[in-house]
Amino acid sequence: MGPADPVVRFEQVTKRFGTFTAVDGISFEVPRGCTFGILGSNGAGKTTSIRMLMNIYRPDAGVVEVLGSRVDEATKPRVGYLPEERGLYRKMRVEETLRFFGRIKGRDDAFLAPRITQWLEAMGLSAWRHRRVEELSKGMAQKLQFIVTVAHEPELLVLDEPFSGLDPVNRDALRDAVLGLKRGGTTIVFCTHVMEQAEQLCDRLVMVHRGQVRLRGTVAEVRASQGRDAVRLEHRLKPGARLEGLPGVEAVHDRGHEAELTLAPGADAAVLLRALLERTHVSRYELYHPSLHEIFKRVVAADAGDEGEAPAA
Amino acid sequence: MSRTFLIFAREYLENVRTKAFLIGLVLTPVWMGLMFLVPTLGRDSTRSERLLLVDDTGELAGPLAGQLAPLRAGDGSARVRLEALDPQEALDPAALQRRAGQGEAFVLRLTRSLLENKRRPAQGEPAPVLYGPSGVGALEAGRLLEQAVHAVVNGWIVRHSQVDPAVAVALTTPTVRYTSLTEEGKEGGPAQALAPFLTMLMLYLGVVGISQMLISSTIEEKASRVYEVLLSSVSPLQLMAGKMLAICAVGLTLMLAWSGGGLLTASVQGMGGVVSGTQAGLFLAYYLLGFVMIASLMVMVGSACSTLKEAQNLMSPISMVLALPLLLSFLVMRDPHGSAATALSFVPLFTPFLMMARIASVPGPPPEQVVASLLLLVACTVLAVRMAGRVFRVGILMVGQPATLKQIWRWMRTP
Repeated sequence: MGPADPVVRFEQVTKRFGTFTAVDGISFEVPRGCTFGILGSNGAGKTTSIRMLMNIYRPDAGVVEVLGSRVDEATKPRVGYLPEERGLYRKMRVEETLRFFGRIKGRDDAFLAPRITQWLEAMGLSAWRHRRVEELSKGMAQKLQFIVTVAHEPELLVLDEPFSGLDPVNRDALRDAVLGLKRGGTTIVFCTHVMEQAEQLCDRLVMVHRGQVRLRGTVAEVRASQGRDAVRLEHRLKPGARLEGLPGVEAVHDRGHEAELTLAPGADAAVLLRALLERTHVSRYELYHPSLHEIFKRVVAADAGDEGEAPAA
Repeated sequence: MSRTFLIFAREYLENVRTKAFLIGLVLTPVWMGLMFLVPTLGRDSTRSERLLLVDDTGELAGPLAGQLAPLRAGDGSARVRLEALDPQEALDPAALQRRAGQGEAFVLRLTRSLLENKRRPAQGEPAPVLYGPSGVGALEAGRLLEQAVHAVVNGWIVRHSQVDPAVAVALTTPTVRYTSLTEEGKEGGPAQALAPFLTMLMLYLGVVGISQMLISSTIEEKASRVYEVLLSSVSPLQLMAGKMLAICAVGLTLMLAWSGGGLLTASVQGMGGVVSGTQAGLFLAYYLLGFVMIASLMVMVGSACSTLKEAQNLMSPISMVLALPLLLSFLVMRDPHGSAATALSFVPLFTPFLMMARIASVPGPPPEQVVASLLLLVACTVLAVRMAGRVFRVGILMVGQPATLKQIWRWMRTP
């Protein structure tokens, strides 16, 4: 496998469960060293795709290649996998857990010992080294699960919703660790339905919905492909005023004192600003490409419009 | 190091490190030892019994008292305290029966007919009776009284007839005593007669009892979501094999300890040589094959369910089928190599247990039947493992509703 060859390759991959098609002819490639996002709502087919990548599910059609060959048991030790549903042996001690999962990935104690010490220190778990997993808090258990995923130094890291359920402090600690690995050259496949996280971490992405790829490219390419701009707003509404019905605004993503306004084609930003000043105290007004969140909502809404269904939550 | 071995070692150590395992390991042989020891202790704890005697003969009370006098209870007092009953009281047999039934005393009536060569009483004439309370404790005292009365009446008849006392003794002495032997020709004793059932019971407890640990272990790990992490490193088959062999080894550890304890106790009790080397080897073979075959069923149930309650529902019909070897074992005990026992011992789910019971009988089954049963078990075990592997790989990632039988059947057929 050459340095230019993709680390992961999906070619027309399909997976069905009975009559339900979870993944429908998906194709994408993940270049070496890239942080690649698979984005989509719950039930879009992300986890099924990841499980096929890990050879946990077998595709009904198409080809899945990991690290240059058809995915098989031999490639598993070269991959680190953090599933969405975290799981460890509750009665095992922290260090014992890390040794067990490291050995199962084919590493010996001499390789694992210094890395375990280093990672426990980096994640603030050194004092818990000899405690049982069941004694850890949820945040600590998630950090331990992350160390389990990376301690054997995989070439490819697969993270399925890595930040779900974490408080902001632990989320930042984990994000810094992921960025450190990315800087070290580890290829990362990252699966999430939280678009802000994808914007922060991903070099390239595919957006999947109902088992199919709807958008692909770098974050900038995906944004540019959607054409329409947006306005990011920090503000305080005047009494009785609302953001709906602003001139040239197609959609409002209201987050309280922050909002994202998607502009209709040809909308005049100056006219919009004047209208806003009448309704609210504006502290920040930024013309921006649409966020992945907005783009994703459009994809879902377009799909619902096609099929006459409500968009997925 | 093999990934399957790592799974095996973790699972095995987790199970044998538990307090429950260690308690079971130590206490079961102690319990088996007590089973032999307690009856011995019981012999010294007999109590003194009251016997109400109605002697219509006027001749037997004295000799009976003499016969019973040397017998002592556990506390050194007379084993039987004889009390003559007013003949008037004997006129109400129902009242006597009630007093005996309520445990107040044993009641004995000796009639004239006994002295007339134990002839059958005429119509309206009282019959000899010995009443006592029900219960295991009273049975031994009852037998003691039977023997004493038998000796006293026989002695009276011999003394009052023309029979030579030596002839009388000869007539009442057993002519030949039946002795059961092991295959090596050594005296087997009662353990030899019980060997087929005990061997089958032990194998059954080891296979069916221990393999059920797989259901709870599979469900527990499914709930803890650890499977998906493991499946990123090992294949479902490696995972299942590691778990299954670990529980199999846990059972083997227990049984080695138990059978070691059992055989030790048996040899201390002079019942050694009950199990031959060939039988031990075959026991191991049937244990391993039977365990893996039935453990495959348990793994299927565990992986198809998310809670123990769901698993219990799914297990109900399987448990009924698995209980059949115990229910049908009487056929093997009665005629180990008859057509019914032979046919049933070739039903795969029954084979390990019923065939082992037949092997523990003397003589054993024809060697070709043993070989055929082993080949059948190998084939069925391979098939069961393949089916379980297919259910396991899908089931362990399923959450929420338990799988339906239709779904399980579809998973089994999907290669």
